[in-house]
Amino acid sequence: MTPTRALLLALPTLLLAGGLAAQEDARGALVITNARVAGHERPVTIVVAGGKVRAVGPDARPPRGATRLDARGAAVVPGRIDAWAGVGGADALGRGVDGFDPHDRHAIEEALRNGVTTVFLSPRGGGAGVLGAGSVVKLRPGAPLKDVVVAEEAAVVAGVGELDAGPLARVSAWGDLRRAFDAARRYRDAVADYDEALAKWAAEVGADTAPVDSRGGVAPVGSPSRAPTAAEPDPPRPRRRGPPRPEPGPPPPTAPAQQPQGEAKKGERPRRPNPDRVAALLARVLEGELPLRVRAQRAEDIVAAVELAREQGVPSLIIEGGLEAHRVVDLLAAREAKVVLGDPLPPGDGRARPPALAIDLAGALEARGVPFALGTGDLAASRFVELAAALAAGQGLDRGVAEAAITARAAELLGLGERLGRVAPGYDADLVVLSRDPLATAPAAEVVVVDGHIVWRRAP
Amino acid sequence: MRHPNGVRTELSVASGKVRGMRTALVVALLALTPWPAAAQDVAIRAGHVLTAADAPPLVDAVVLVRGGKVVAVGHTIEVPLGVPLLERPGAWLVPGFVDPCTGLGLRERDEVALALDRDLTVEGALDPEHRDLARARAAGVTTVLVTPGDGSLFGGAGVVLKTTGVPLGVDPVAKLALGPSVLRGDRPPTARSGAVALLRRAITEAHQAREPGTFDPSDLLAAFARGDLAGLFTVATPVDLDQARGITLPLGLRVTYRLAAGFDPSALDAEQARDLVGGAPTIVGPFGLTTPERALRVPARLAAAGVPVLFTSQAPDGPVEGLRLTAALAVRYGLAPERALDALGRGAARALGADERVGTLAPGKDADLVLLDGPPLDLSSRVLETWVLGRRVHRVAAAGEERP
Repeated sequence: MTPTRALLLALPTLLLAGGLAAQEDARGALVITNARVAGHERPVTIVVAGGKVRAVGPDARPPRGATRLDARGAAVVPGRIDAWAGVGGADALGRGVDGFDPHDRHAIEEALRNGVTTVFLSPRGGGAGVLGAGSVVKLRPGAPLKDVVVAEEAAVVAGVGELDAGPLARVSAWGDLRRAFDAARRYRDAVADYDEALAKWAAEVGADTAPVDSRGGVAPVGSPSRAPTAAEPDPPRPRRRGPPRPEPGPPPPTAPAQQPQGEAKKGERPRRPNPDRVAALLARVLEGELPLRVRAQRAEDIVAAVELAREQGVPSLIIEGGLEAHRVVDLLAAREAKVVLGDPLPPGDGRARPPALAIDLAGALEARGVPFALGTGDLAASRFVELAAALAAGQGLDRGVAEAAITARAAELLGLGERLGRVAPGYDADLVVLSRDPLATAPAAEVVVVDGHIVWRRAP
Repeated sequence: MRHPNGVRTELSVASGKVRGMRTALVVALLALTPWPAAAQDVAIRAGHVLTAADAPPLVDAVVLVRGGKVVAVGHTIEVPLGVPLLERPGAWLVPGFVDPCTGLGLRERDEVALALDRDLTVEGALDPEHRDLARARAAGVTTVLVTPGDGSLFGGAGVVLKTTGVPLGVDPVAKLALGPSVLRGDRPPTARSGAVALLRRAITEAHQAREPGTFDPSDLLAAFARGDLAGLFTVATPVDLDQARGITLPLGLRVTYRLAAGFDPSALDAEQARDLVGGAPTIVGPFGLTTPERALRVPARLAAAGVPVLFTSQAPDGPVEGLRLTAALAVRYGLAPERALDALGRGAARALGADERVGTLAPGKDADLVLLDGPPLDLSSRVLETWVLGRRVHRVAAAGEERP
């Protein structure tokens, strides 16, 4: 990360330094002229190079040889972000990106046609427990997956069952989640103890082991394979799938293996705890490295999610869904939880108890200062994320806030607020040249740019 | 759609009886409703006025309302002394939206003990102060058909209702259904063949038995079979649609079809649509953001085949705002905006036999008005005010303004 940032900082210097470098840069450069950009009174020129916006302003100097695009006074907005695009199925060790087909040109182009350039891929399914990790990808037809993945693991997604799950199913779902976090905490402690013991042992025998992690002995538990002991001869264990099952009777049978290893016989190498990738993933949530996204629509589930986060010490909680969030908006505000709203008007199936829909749900969150983004809940619906914003505006949310909820605010909620969601220097060059009002019902994109590439153009 | 023969005079005896029954109900419901019958005389000048879907919007036009009715619409209306003129320069004023198939205001929707509920009307379960009706008013929906559900072959009759809880006073609409929803293990029909046979026999017998003066007001099935009442026919599959048409078309009965959720849209490809539906108005929806593209293309396809396409939110099973969303999504997938607007107004009103009262803004029509802050098919347009029969029944307080 740091070398990349350093390189980016150095780029302007390189440009000034030599014509050769400037020419090199201009090869992938794009200049959009006559663009109306929010925050600028007069039409501006947007200079894009190396996949980033370099300059925005009336006097921005385009590099020679750059591709030119005349916006003819049209609005240029940041690429829209669907902060909740459901994909694939649920698996505790799955990732949203595994369910993404970068070759599904039709779906991708439908989304681009509507100005959607980034999606948060959330493992689909109404199951209970840990549903997997969500991923962030850009939409670029034909581009290899490695070029479009922004973050493979951007959040841990958990669920509490179907909308109409009965009380018994809910109790058991919350129990499973609690157990999973308990296991994660035990695992984290065991890894920390192991690292400590290993360092001690290394000092004793003078062996050359990797240094202890800078965070005071807490190993990078998120990736046991990258732990200092990656080359250890421990045989790989079968992966655990799904949330941990209840362990019969205290003490848990795994406990002895995860006891502090300091008690081990003198001179004997401490034993590494059994790898547990679900626990490792949740440990990253406990560390605040990844947010926990709990899929919860009903008020009672939202309350339970907030309680779980408090009790387990989860620093960052996002409610995914939140159809009844208006009923518990004070609690959400007090606990600093965030919300990703999905399809605002889900057609009922006539079976499940319909959730109590607020007339202005997003407005209720906004009024109490609860950070939120608007999503669709399904990758196939990502093309309609701007309709979700339009509907929110139609129910009373400020139009500017509605637009932000699918751009800048969505980016912030995904932890990418310094990279996505704005037309400003240093941000990714994900831009949409619009032909009409940003919240019109008709498809409004004329040209869509992702990472500096023109990826979609309206047929003339 | 009118009766193919256009003959309704000979049925005046029957209609009179139906009407008598209705009047009693209207009176009963009026006693319950929170909206006084007296309406306000008012004139509203709006930035854009859409009188009907196929008319261009009038810019800066005035709608004059007296006694709950539209009296005049135009640029040069003389507003009588003493009638307040409301200025709404930024607003779009359109006819109140009509949802032709809902369960709004019902405490429970289905009575399924009998396959043929000859005398059931929804009034028995109707709560005119139900909060779902308030939500409908807030969404700009002013007229709805409240029907029994799809659990019976003949579910009885639905009532055309203002969302203030007051019946319009037009004929009830018979409710029919074919599909898995009508089958039960504990009473016939238990299978599709039995369902079709049962319904065909009942309707054909009632149709043949029609004689002047023998009308039994409690037999709504007979009233439908004789052509006295229009019918709303829910069909689950193309086969059901085929059977429904086979039963009703030869007898010249007035039917609007509703394609149930999950109706295979591929059956409506290209020219087949007209063959299948036979030109009867057809209700689709509700659509949501996750509705597959194939289904979203159905309205445009039906329209291209000359079929009047209508929309429903299926409220309260789905959110009532889904009515406008469904229309907007249909427009995104090829339906002409005028057709979509017509479906929300006059088209739906016609299917309910209420187009002389609602669905357009013209002198003599009910003063059911919706004011939005943008074009009605733009979903970001917000419903600012809703008026029913000349009374304001919903209003959004403007910024810095106190709620009235």
